[in-house]
Amino acid sequence: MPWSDAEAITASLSRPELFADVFRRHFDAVHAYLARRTGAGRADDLAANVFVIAFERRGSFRADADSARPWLLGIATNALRNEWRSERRALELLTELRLAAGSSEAGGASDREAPLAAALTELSPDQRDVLLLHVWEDLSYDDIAQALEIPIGTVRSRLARARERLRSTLAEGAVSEQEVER
Amino acid sequence: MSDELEYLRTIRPTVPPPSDEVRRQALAVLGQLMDDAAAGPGAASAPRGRRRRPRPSFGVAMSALATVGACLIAVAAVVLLHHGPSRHASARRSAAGTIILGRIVSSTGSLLAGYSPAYAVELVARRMPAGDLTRHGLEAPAALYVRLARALGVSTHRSTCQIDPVARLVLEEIPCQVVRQRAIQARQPYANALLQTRVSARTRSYLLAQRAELPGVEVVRVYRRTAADVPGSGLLKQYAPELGAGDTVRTAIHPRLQRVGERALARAITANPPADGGAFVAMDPETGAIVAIGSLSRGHVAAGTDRAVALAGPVGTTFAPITALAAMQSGTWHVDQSYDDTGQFCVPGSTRCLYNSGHAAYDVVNMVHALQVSDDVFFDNLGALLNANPLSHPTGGALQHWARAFGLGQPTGIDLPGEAAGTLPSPAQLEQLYREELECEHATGPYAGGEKHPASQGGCGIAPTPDWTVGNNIDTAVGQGDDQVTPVQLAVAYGALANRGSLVTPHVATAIDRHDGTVLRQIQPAPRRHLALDPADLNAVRAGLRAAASQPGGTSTDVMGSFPEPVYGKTGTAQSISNGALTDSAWYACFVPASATNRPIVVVVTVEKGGFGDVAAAPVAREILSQWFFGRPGRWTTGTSTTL
Repeated sequence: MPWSDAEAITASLSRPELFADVFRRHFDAVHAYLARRTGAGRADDLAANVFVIAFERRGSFRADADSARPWLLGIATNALRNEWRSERRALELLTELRLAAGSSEAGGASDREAPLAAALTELSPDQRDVLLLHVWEDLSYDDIAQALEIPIGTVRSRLARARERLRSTLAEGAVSEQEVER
Repeated sequence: MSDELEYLRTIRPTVPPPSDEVRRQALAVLGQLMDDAAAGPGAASAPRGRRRRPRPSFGVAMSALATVGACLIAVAAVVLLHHGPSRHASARRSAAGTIILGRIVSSTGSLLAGYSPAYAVELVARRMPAGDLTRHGLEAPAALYVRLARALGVSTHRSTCQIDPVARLVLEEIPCQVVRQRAIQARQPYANALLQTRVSARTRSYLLAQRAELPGVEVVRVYRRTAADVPGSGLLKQYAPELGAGDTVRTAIHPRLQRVGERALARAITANPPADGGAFVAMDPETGAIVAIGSLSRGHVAAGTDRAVALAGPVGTTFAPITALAAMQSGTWHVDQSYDDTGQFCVPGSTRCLYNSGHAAYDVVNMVHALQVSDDVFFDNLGALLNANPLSHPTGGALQHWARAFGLGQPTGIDLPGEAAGTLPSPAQLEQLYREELECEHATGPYAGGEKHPASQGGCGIAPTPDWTVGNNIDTAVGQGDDQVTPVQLAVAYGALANRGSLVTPHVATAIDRHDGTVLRQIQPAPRRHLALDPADLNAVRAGLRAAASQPGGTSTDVMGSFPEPVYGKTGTAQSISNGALTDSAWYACFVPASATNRPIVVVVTVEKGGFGDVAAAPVAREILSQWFFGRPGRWTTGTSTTL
């Protein structure tokens, strides 16, 4: 790599056109994250706007950060704040898909996946953000803290609460399945 | 990893990568932003030629963006609902794109004015869908317009509309006009209506993306003047053909002098009711460089430099030096000749008699003394003597010749837009006025369709008769009646008195610098002409002006007498009839010549309806002079002379 994200962003302060490098490196990743959470239709637009916002805020990018990806995903996460309807639709779709998969596969892990997708809708937005950035986007606790501009302790506690919530949902799901069988 | 996280990972949705089209469009939006940032003021390397990028036309984007203002969300929801994607919106740059980038700096390099990029929403009536709009799923354009206005934070309410005049016009006119858009298509009075407001880049890029869904709604980049009503803000327009993005127009304007001038003028207007406006010009008489220029209207900085170049009117006896030189240069009057002022002058061949202000009688006066005390009767006499036969001299005699030679009643060529030519009365000009009077009375020509104003009922008051009389020449000689002179014209004329005959070209700009710091060109316009003035005659006029500002009985001695530099000054009080009442406008014109200082300066001040020149205008000139020479405006010094 000829130069790092941080170098490109710093250089773009005086030569704005260099920000295009950041776009080329990360647009697909940002788009994928948004598509996972809201569906491909919304992602096209949201992703474009994430880069518009990022460009405007490029002055506040932490020059010591390695990759711009956590920062961009943080902006994308903020952009999702008013996207709950799309996100819930996406999660409902996911739930249905998992249910359909579960019925065809007859049991196994997917039995648990459908209620898990549904459980995601029950989480608080803060918890969902941290959880999905960690599990779906493979961000470290540090990265998440940087992306969302929250202390790392907060990342840990939100993640812990989210997992607790999911665990209980899974347990209930297991119970209810047994009840159905009976 | 624990179970629940493992499960969660397995249901991570697999999503297809964005299409090339989506990538391209997103980059295009970003590209415009990057362009804007590069072209914005302060950018070190502004591109001269702007690359054209494909304009994006995004698909349906309905729901609210977290980061876009809530108001915009309303628009999106209202306007964009149920619209399918369109890929056919053609790229188009508005005519607003022709507005110039650039900035204007003072003599010290401080920013006087500039343009910064802003975004505007443009409603193009003819591009809006015709016919039943609801069929297109759009609201009626008027409602759409109102919603857009609200969304962009612009009031649609007339009385609370506090934005650009452009937008105000649109806000008031569009809602009713666009409803009848078919009619507009025929007449096109508001074919391109700009609703100009400072929308954020984000809002703009969002709207841009939605353009395909909004026929007739364009998002355009415009340039917003960053500083309103500063001197020379018209310069950008003036030098537009030469200016590139990021270029700088350097001016001779001294910012502090400018501020002092504006404050002093405001004070004079406030202190002299019913004064309601005024202007000042301060110029280097050797070069024509304008070091301060401004005007005020109703006590506010409203018109920028407009009135200093665009306000033409009678100038009272600040005109007298021109009359004096015309009389002496033409041999009508000798520099040492005396005149017995009895206090009245009866116009030859008429029953009309003229008097000095306050019915003063100055007894035996010569040229110097007449200028010193502003002896109206003396100059009435010169006006009468200088009158030429209107039949053989349709453009006037020596008075008109010399007034034109000094540039009165003609544009000075100053590098500001909107300069008025003014007029100089002459038999031919009077005839022309009378023709207009007849057209007005009979409602013909440019007055066609208007109301008739029969002469029997007083006519229009433009010119009661086409016949030039000696009285017309007398009025001209003392700067009354139909004399139409601008402050900047008077500054140039007095500049010629200061520099002994050179009619300089006044200019605000002194150089154009490229954005990279190199000088494109220096602006040093040559003098328009050099007047051959007899040194003895000129000296007499200058002595009169010096005495007027320094000797006992001088019309501005009480204001200027204590000033440490030698001021040559003349008061003027222009009488005009406004709404049936006689209102006097105050004038003061003065200079400190290069023979007395290495900072020569000419200052002209007028206070409309301000009364006597010494009372209202001279104090402003003193503050300007004080700031110029000593770096502080000094104590406000007002006068009491009641001469015209």
